[in-house]
Amino acid sequence: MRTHRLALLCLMGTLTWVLQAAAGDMVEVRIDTVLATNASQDFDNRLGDMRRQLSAFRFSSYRLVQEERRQVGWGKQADFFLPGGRFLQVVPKEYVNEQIALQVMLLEGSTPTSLMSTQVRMPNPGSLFIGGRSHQEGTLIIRIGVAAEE
Amino acid sequence: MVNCPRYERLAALLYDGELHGPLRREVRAHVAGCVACTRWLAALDRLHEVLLQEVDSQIERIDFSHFWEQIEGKLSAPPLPWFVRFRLQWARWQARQPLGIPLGAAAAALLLAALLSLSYLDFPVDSFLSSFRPNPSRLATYSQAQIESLSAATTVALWNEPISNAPVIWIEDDRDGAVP
Amino acid sequence: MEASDWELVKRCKEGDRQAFRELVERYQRKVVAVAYGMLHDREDALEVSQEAFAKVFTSIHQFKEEASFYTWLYRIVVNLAIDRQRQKSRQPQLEREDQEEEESNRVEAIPDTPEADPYEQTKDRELGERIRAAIAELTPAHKAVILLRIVEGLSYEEISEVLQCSRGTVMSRLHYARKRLQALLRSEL
Repeated sequence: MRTHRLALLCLMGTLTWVLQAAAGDMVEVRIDTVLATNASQDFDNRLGDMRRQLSAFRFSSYRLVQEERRQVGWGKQADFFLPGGRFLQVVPKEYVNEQIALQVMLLEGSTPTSLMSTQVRMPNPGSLFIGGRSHQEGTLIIRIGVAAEE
Repeated sequence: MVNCPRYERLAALLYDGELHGPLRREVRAHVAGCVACTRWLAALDRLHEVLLQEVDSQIERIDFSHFWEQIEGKLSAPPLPWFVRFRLQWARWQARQPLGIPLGAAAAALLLAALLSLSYLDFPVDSFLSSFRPNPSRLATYSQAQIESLSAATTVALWNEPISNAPVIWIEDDRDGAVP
Repeated sequence: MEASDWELVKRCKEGDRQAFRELVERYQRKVVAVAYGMLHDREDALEVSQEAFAKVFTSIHQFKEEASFYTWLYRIVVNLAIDRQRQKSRQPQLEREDQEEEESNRVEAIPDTPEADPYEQTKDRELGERIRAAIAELTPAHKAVILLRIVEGLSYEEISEVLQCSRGTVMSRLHYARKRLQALLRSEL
C-alpha cells in the first residue's frame, strides 16, 4: 500500500517536473474581466468559480467580457489590453516565504495615464480584484490571479 | 527606427479601425503631429501591401477549375474503416503533444522501476510523504494578502473580499463613484 | 440577387449540394489564401482547404444560425492547417529536404510578353521568398492573426471568434507579429 502511494506521488511528481521543464521559471497570470451591472439578473456560467466571490460586490448581473492567461517570467512585464482602451501592466517581482510579490498598474486614456499603481504580496496561488471603472452600461471588475510553481 | 512607445499600440488600433469616439479623435490628432507614429503607420501600410501582394501572387498561380470536383470526391468516398479513422485521430492527437508520448512513457516506466526497487529497501516512506503535507501554522501566517504600496489618481476604497480574502481595490469613477 | 451565406447554409442542411457548391466558390480563394499563409505550400494549402470544406459539409447541421459562417469556416481551416503543420514538422528530415530541393529546382516560366522585365521578376521572386521566410518565423498563433487581419480583413472581434480567444489576446498577438515582421523585413519596409 505504501509503495502504491509512493508510486502515485512520484508519477505526479514526474509529470509536474516534465511540465515545469517545458514551462521554465514562470508565473501564470490570469486576467478575468467581468462586466457587472444592475440591469438584469443574469449570471454568466463561465464565471462559475467566482460566483461566491462576485456576490460580495452586490451587483445583480455579471458577464465575462474577456479572459486571458499568460506565462510571465519573474521580473518581466506583461501588458494586458482591457475594454475601453485601458491597459493592465503586471510584473511578478519575487517569490519569498510562499508569497508572490506583484506589481500592478492600471492605465487609461490616450496618453495613457496611470490610474492606479500597487505593490501587493499574496499567497500562492492568489488573486486580487480591481474594480470601479465604468464601461458601457456597467462597471468593470478585474480579477488578477497568479500562480507560481514552487 | 525611433518609436513612440506610448502611442504605438493605439496608433495600430487606429489603423485597424478599432478605435471610436473621443479616443479615436485624440489618437488621430496625436498621429498627425508625431513623426514616429506617422512612420510606424507607413511601415504598417507597407507591411500589409507586401504581404497581400505575396499571398495574392501565390493564389493567382493556383488552378481552381478542379477544386469543386476534388471536394466532391472527398464527400463521395466511402467512409474509412473504424481502425483507420482511429489511427488518423491518434496521429492527429499525437502531433499535438509537445513532448511526445515516448518520453512520458519512458519517464513513467523508469520511475515505477525505481519505486519497486525502493520497496525492497528500508525506505522511510511515511516521513518522506509527510514532508509534502502543508504546515498549518505557516498557512495561517501567509494566507493573508498584503498591499505594500498603493498610489492612485483618484479616490480608492480598500477591503478584503470575504470569501477568499483577496484584496479589492475599488477605484471611484467620476461618473458613478458608488462603492458597492 | 446573390443568396446570403445563411440562406445557402439552410439549403445545405436540407442536403442541397448546389447550395454547398455556391458556398465553396464564394470562399475558395479566401480559404486557400489563409491555408497558404499558414503552410507556405500550394499543394498542402489546396488539400487542407478541400478537407476544410468537406468537414463543413459533413458537420453543417452543427452550425448555429446566430454564428457567422465565414468565422466558423476560417476556424476549421486554421485548425486543420495547424494540425498539418505539426504533422509535417514530425516528418523525417530527409523527406523534407527532398521536397525543398524539388521546390528550389522548379523553373518559373517566363511570360511571353514584351513588358516582362527579368530584373523586376527576380526582385519580386526574392522579395516573395523573404516574405515567406519571415512569416515562417512566426508561431502558428501569430501567423493566423496576421493572415486573418491583413489578408482577410477581419475585425479583432471576428478574429477572436475564429481563434476562440479574447480580443485582448488578438491585439497582443497582432502587435507582436507586426513588430516581428517589421524587424525581419526592415529593408523592404
